Amino acid sequence: MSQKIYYDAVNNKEVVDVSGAKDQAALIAEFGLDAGTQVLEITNPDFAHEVVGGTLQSFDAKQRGIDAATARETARAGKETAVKAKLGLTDQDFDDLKEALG
Amino acid sequence: MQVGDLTKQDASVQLPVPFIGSFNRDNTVADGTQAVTGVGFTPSYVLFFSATAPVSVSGTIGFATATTGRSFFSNHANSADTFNLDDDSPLRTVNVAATTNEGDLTSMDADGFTITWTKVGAPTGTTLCRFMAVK
Repeated sequence: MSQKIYYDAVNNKEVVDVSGAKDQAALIAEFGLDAGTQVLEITNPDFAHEVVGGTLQSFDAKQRGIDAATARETARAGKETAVKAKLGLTDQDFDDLKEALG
Repeated sequence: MQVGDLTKQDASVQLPVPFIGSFNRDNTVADGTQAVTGVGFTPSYVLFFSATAPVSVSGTIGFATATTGRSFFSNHANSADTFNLDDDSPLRTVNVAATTNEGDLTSMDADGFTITWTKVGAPTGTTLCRFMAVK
């Protein structure tokens, strides 16, 4: 199911039409939204909306989560490699050290 | 009366099937209201789940009527591996220490409900919400 997001930056109001089917002009009047209200339609359930530099836009929330997890794992692995190299540890030495430190 | 059961009720008192939907809130925008419309009826109460994108240990299970709300939320950002209870808001994002974005259900409307969001500090990310509205 699609949904439409209405973002009124002037009044800090947001309206989410979860049916995606309401008349746009009627909805703006019903909620007293500013004439400059931005409207965005989202049809993919993995997507969400955000406001970047004052502009309403959609993004893939699922993919962003995957990317963030990948970046954190890459950073963690990089630190592990650097510590092993600095201390001259094997993988087993490093695992033993981690276990010893709890 | 059984919610959503159209076979055992008189047509004049039939309750609609609960509406299940989703919305989200950008935690970086200013405090304000967020009306959810298109539900098809005025809810009596709403159940919520939320999580925060991108990955963070932040989430809520909450519920609210028109006058009050409660939630069970992850407090990991403030105190590792802990959960907490809120006796006011059905939605509560705590994705950075000492910062929150709280969503209070402030009205049941003709075709949905309205959440009023209030921040403490400068929370980041997006609160992804799932809900079930019941008449």
